[in-house]
Amino acid sequence: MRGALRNVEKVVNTLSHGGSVVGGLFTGVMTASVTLAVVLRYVFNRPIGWSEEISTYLMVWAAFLGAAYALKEDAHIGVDLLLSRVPEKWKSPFLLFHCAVGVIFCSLLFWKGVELVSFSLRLNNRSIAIDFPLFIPQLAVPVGSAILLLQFISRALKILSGLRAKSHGGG
Amino acid sequence: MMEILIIFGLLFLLLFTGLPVFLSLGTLAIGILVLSGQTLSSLAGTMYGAMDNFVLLAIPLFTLMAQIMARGGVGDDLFDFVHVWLRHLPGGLAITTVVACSLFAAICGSSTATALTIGTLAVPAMLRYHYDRPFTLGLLAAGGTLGILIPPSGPMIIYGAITDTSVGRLFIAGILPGVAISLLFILYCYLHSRRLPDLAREITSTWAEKVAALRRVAFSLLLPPVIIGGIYSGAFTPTEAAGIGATMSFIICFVIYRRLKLKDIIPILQDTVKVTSMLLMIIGAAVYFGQVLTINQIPQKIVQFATSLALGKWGFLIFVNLLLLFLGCFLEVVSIILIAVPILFPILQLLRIDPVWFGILFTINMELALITPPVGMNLYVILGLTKTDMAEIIRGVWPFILLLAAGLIIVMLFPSLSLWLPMKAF
Repeated sequence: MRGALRNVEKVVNTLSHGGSVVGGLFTGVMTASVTLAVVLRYVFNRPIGWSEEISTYLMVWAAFLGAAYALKEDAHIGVDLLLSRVPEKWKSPFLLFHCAVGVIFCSLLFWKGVELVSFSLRLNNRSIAIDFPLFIPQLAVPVGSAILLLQFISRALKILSGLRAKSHGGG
Repeated sequence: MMEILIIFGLLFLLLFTGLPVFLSLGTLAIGILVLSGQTLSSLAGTMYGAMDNFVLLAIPLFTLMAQIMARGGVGDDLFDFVHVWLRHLPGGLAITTVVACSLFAAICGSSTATALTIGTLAVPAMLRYHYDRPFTLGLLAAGGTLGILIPPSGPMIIYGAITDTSVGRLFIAGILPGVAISLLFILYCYLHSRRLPDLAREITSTWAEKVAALRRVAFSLLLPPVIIGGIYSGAFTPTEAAGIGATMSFIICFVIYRRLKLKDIIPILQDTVKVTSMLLMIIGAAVYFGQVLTINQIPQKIVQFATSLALGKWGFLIFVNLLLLFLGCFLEVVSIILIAVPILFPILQLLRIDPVWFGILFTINMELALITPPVGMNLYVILGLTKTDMAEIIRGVWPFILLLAAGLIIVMLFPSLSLWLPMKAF
């Protein structure tokens, strides 16, 4: 049981980590593309139209892909004014509550994200400026929320197994 | 009115359980829709739409630039450079710290990053020269807050994106108030250090030292004028300036100085994604929350209520600043912007208050939020840095809270201090 749990955690963490690396590479590409657009406009007098839009899509992807990694690294800020004053043994219910809310929110976001993508696919929605198929950037919503959902589940399982270990006297 | 109190009461309740801000906003919005029998079909579309914004792209690009500069040791160079040039002054090291904070603020849009980068160097140095601990810790917490007032500025980008105010104008408007508040801090450092009897006065550096220090930072010092100059002249947008800044910082740290190796780039990019994701998830959830409030006509009701009070322009401004000061004691900056601004902005337009000027007042108020106890992100940064107790930091930060409040009042009384430069720009 404990071993299976560790495997789940490992797989989910690898996914989150992978998401952040891909998001990071996207960040590099959008930096290059924004800079390139300025250089081409001023130095070669040849403005390019796609840079703004593609870079923004890459940012949306990076943001959703990085959400699970940010959770793993405790980077999603919250107000810890009360929580930091709660005695250690009372913290788990709060943390489990966060995970439960996270699971509900991400499930809804995933479901609505799939709807959004399939809607855009069905109607063949494209961007006005460069005629880019919109389902591609929108796909970031279900993909990102799915990884984030898994990270919340893995986190909840970890807290629960920690509680059980404690109630069994560390066994 | 009752429903407004219930909604915001619930929001604070959720926030105070420590639930991440984006979940608090998103879940409450869903809750309102479910309870009132409405559909939540726009959840994904609204969050996606909120993030699909070229203005917001400046956030990851400026974050990347600051991350590269901080890891590339540019903070050290800046601090050394200012120190060599200013150390002979009375209170030279304290003044050095303020100037180094302002300079780093000009390549970094985050106050916590500024406090962390300069604090790592300045705190040990100041304590070695017998500055008292509360003053040193308070100075670093407060000096770091300049990060969001002196352009670039993360909160100004978010404020500009959600209110359709020009981020370029906001940036330019922040320059003079930023300089004015730095000068207030410097004056206080000078007066305070004269009261410290056993402060070691440092010797004047030679010109050879000064030139050597300047040469080490010359390339990094190019960044702020390129970014601000480019925006000021209208040559490029803030987002493009951010892209150019990130590329330049990459060239400076990876190619020219070779301080960083190619394998360092992945962790830097990951950290950038982490910050971007955290901010954009909150922005997405906040826009959805705002949309749900609008469907239920909450902002209209608040505007009605505000007009029924007939506060007038100044009454409203004073009331808002006190409200923000209060919120700033408990919430952090991004949440305050995203919760308060969409509600306040319609009233602002009704009273014909300049959105750029208000943006600067708002940002200075957010600087206060960063150092007002019990929740002030910069207080936590200094706490993490020094492992001292919070009481000592709070004791040292009080004078700076008053100085910032004085700065806020000055910028409020003299709107041209912030509005004169952007009028000349573009």
